[in-house]
Amino acid sequence: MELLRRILGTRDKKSSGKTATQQPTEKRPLSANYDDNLQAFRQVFDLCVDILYREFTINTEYPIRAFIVYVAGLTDYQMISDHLLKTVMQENVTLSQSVHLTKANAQQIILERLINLAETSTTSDLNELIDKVLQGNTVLVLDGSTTAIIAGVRGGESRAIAEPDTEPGVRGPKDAFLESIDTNMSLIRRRIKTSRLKSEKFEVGLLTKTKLAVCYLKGIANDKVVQEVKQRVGRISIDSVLDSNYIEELIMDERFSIFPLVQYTERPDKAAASLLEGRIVIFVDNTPMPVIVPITFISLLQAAEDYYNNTVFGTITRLLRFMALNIALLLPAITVAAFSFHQELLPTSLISTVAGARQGLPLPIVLEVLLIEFAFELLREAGVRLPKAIGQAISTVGGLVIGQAAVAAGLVSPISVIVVAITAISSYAIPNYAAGTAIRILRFILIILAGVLGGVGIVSGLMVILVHLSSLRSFGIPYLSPLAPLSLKDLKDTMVRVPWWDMQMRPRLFAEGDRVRQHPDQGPQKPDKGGQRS
Amino acid sequence: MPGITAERAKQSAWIATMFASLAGFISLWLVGTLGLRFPRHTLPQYGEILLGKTLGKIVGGAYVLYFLVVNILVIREFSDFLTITLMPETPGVIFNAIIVLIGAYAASKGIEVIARMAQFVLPLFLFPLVLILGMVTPNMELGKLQPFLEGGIAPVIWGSVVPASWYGEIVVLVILLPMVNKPREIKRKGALALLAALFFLTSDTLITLTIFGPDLIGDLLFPFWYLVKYIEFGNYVQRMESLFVLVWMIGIVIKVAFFYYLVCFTTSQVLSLKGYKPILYIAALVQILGATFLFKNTPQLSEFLSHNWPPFGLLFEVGLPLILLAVAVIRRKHARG
Repeated sequence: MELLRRILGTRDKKSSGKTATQQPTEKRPLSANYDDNLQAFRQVFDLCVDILYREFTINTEYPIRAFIVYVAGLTDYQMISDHLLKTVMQENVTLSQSVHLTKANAQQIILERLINLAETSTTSDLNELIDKVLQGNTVLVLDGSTTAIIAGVRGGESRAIAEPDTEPGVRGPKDAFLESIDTNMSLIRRRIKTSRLKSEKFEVGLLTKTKLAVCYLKGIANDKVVQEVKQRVGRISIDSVLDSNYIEELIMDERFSIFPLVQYTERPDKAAASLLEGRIVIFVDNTPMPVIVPITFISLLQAAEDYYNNTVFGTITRLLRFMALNIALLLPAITVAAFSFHQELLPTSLISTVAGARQGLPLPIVLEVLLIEFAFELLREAGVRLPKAIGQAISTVGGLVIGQAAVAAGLVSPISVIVVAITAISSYAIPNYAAGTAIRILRFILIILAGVLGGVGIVSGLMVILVHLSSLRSFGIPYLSPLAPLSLKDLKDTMVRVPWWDMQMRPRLFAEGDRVRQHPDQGPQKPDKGGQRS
Repeated sequence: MPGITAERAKQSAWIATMFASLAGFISLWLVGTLGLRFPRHTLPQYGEILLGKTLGKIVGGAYVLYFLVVNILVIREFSDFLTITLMPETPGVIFNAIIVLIGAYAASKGIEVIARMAQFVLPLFLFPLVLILGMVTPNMELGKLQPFLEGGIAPVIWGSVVPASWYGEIVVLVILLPMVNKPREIKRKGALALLAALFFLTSDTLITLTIFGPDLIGDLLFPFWYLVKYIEFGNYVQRMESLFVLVWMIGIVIKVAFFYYLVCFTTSQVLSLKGYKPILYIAALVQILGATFLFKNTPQLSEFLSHNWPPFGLLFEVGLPLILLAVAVIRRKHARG
C-alpha cells in the first residue's frame, strides 16, 4: 500500500508540471479592419463546420459592414433573426432621423438602442470572443471598431423536465434535474427563495470548459466545509468533465474506497433539503445529477419520501431499509457459514429439510451460492446495458434457466436460489445506487470468507469493513456519525424519522450558526389547548 | 469469570469480583492524579522527567512489554477458545494471525478510529450480553450462594487477585490521557467505566455461580460459554453459543487493536521515533509468534493466567504508577509550562 502510494505520489508530481490549470490565455486584441477580424475567426475555427457566419451591411449613409459568428444548434435562430439581425439591419425603423450611424458611434448606438436582448456585453479580446461563441453566444463584429458585441442568444435543443427515473416516489414533487446547469439551479431557487442561497461559479476542464456551481446556504452551512469544497474544486485540473463523477473522484477525501463519499440525486427536493440541512450541492453542467457533500453512511439509507409520508411509516420504512442493507450484505454469507460450519444454529426441522434437498448436489454450498450470485450479477449487468426490448428477453431466459432449470437439473439447491433472490431484492431496497454497489462487492468477499472460516470469517470481514468505515471522512465529517461519534440529538433523523414538529434543530453535523429550524411547541395539540400555543 | 476465583472463594466469588474492582479504582486514581500533573505527557515522557532518562526509558519499555504481553494473552486465550468451542480442526496460528492483522489495520488508522469502532459496536455488544443474562435468570438458584462468606475474608481477597488484574487494565490511561479532549473529567468517566465493568462482571459471576454452583465452575474452562449453551427459549432460541462466540470476537478484535496501538505508540515514544507505523510490522510478527509459541497448550495458558500473571499485571497497574506518583510528590515535579 505504501509502495503504491509512493508510486502514485511521484506520478502526480511529474504530471503536475505539464498540465496547467488554465490555458495560458494571452489577450489577442481585435483589429479595426473588418477583413482581418473575419479572417482571424475563420482561422481559429478552421475546419469547424458547425461554426456559422453571417455577413451583412448596415445600410446607412455610410454603409457599415458587419458579421455575426455563432454555433449551429447552440443558439436560438429565431432570436438571432428577430432581435439581432432584424433590429440592426433595419436601424432606421427604430432610430429617429437625427441619429446617424457612423463607424465611430455605431457600436454604442446598436448596443444601447437597437439590440433588445437581456444579456449583452462587449470585449476587445479575440480569445474571450471565441470562448463566448463556443458557449452558445452570438458575436457581432462591426467594421471599424476594435470591440465586439456579445449577444446572449443561447438556445438549442434540450429535454423537458421529467419525472425522476432513478429515484421515483409515490408522494412528493415529481420534477427531476436536467442536463442544463441553469435550469437545475432554477429548480432550487424555486424552492429556496432567499438571498442567503449562494452559488459560486467555477469552470473546470481544459477542453470541455464545463460550468460548475457550488451552492450553499450562507449562515447555515459550515463555513469551513464551504471553504474546503471551494478549495478542492478550485484545485481540479483535468482536460474534461463529462459527468459529476469526475468531480466526485477528484474531490473525495480518500483515494480508494468502495463506499461513496459524496451523494447524488436527481430530485430537486432532495437537493433543496440537503441545502437546508447545511450541506453543499455542487452542480455540474451537462449532468442531471448534482453532487451533495458532506454525507454520512446513514444518509445513504434515507429517501426523500421518508419526509413526505406518515412519520411512523417513515420510521418503519427506514428500519426496513436498514434490515435490507444487512440482508444484502450478510444473508448469503450467513447461509454459507451456517450450512457448512454452524449447523447447530439451525432449527432441527430446517436442517433435515435442507439436508434432504442438498443430497446429490455436485457443489459445496459456498460455490453454489457464489455461482448463483455470479449468474445474477451477469443478468443484472446485461439487463442494464442491453436495449430495453432485448432486456425483457434476458430476464425471461435468466429467470427460467437460473430459477427453474438449474434446480430441476439438480445443479443447485432451491434454498440457494431463494437466498440469492432475497438478497437481490434487498440490495435494491437501498436507495443509493453507489452504496448498493459497495454492498455487492463486499457481499462476494464475505461469502468467500464464510466459506473458508465460517462465522469467524464473517466477523473478520465485518471488522475490517468497520475499521475502514470508521476511518472514512466526507469533507471532515466522520462517515459513521451520528452513530460514532455518537450524537444523540442527531439520531432523531437517522434510524427513526420523528415528526416535523419535533425537528426543531438542524443536524448538528452539517449546520453551523443558524441551527433553529422552527419554532418549538408546534406539535398538534388538543383543540381546547389550541389557543395557548406560544 | 475465571475458575480460579471460584476455586478459591467458592460461593463468595461474586464478592471477590466486586472487591477486585478496588484495584481498578486505585489505579484510576493514581493514573488520573499523575496525568493531571503532566496533562500533555504520556507515561514514558513523564517517566523520563521523574526518573531520569535511562530509568525513564526502562520504565517505558517495561510498559511496552506489559501491553504486548496483555495482548498476546488476550489473543492466545481467544484463539484457544475458538479452537475448543467452534473450530477444532483449524490451527490456532490462523486465528492468531487473523486477529492480529485486523488489529494491525485498525491500529494503523490511529486511536480515533479504534475509539469510534468501540463506540459503534458497544450497543451490539451490550444488547446480547443483557439478553443472555436476562434469559438465564429463571435458572438461578440463590441458595447456591449460601453459606455467606463461609471461609472468612481471606479466600475472597485471595480469589480477587485475578479479576483485579483485569480491572487494573484501566492503567492504559497513562498513554491515553494526553489525547483526551477533557482530561479533567477522566476520573469521573473512568469511574463510570469501572462501575459498568463491575456491574457486568459481578452479575455474570452471580448468575454463573447460582446456576452451576461454585464447585462446578472451578472445573469449567469457560463458564460463561456453558451459560450461553444453557439458554433455551421456546423451540427456536437454543444453542446460541456460536453466535455468542462471534459477538465476543468483535470485542476481542477491538481490544487487541487498542493494545496493539498502545504497543506501537508507546514504543515510538520510548525510542523517540516520529511515527509508530514502522513498528506495526514488527509488532505483528511478535504478537503472532508470541501468541502461537509462548504456550504449549490451554492448561499451561490458564495456569499462567491465574497464577503467574496477576502479580506482574498488578505491578504495572498499581505498583509502578504508585512509585511514579510518590516520586512526583517528593520531587515536586509538574509539567513544564
